[in-house]
Amino acid sequence: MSDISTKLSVIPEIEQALLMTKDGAVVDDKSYQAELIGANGLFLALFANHIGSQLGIGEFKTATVQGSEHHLFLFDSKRHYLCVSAKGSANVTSLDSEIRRLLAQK
Amino acid sequence: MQAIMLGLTTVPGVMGGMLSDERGNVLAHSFPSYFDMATLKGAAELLQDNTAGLLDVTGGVKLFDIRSELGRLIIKPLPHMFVVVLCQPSVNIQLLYISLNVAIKKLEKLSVASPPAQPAQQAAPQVQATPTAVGVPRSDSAAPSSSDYRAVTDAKGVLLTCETMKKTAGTFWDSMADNASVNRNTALEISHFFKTGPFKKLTITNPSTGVSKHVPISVIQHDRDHVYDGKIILTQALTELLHAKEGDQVRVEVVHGGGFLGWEGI
Repeated sequence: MSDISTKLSVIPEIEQALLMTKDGAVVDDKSYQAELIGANGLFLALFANHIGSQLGIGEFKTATVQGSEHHLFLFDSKRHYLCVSAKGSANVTSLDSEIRRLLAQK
Repeated sequence: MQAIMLGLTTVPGVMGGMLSDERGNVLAHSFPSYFDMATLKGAAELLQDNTAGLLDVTGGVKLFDIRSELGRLIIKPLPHMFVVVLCQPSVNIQLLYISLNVAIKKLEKLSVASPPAQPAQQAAPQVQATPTAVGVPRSDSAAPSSSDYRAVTDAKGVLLTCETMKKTAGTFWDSMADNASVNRNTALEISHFFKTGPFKKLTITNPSTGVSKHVPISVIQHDRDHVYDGKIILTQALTELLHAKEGDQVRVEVVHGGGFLGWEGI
């Protein structure tokens, strides 16, 4: 488990947080679940970049998918994507700000 | 619809909104004129092609929120439609959500009050080419960019025009099997009529002879010029079995299973 995943695991609504390279290789987690979330995260990244460039807003910085059963958050950095899966019962806006608050902490 | 989309732009920081259907047609938009129709159509097609990809992992997508340095994109999937709102990164998102909910309520009322909406604008003139065989390449230059096909139905099912698959070296063996093909739009109309969702088999009946057959269906994915809208392509063997001729109308039905497990009669 990466440092960031450990940091985010304090939020009870978060199911999984993983770091992956821009070509979809999950860092420090070889489980099937991680691979599945990573694949969906990469799909979301491709979609967000496609539609962003189509409408002229460029590459995405963050992408959030609010789902019925699970939410998916994707954060872009220089070399990696942070992909977070959360419970569908959680409030997306408060979860998003909570993740950002934890990531901003040194 | 146009008025509803224009209503969204009254929220400070919103650049424009677009309503598209599940076939990639732009139904209405309030984007500034520097977003041409081809750009919006491209975005609508991307939505149509990609949003289903995240269905399994999320259990059904309620909202997409994509943020970049230059803007923020909110995509709200609705039954058979998508609302896309492009705004500045500094937009008051809670205010936008309130306006979006109001717009969605208005759209719901509109869709109840009126029949399915037709595409607002079409990028190219409608040209209906007469197809000769499945898979024959067609000119894209005169192709219509959107489809306004709506199913012709009777009390029992959807009526489709019959077309026979031509025997070529590539389709010789296939033409001996009993199966049929419809394009994506036609498959969607059948699915909407029976309210079944995806299906793999259809019962095809020739109303003039009364002969029917339950056959597997394949969907033609790339019929961008919509020449197979409202048509069903039957193999040679199936055409002979149904005593149907090219151009005849056949009725198609989705068979619902009965019994405790829902398997009976399938």
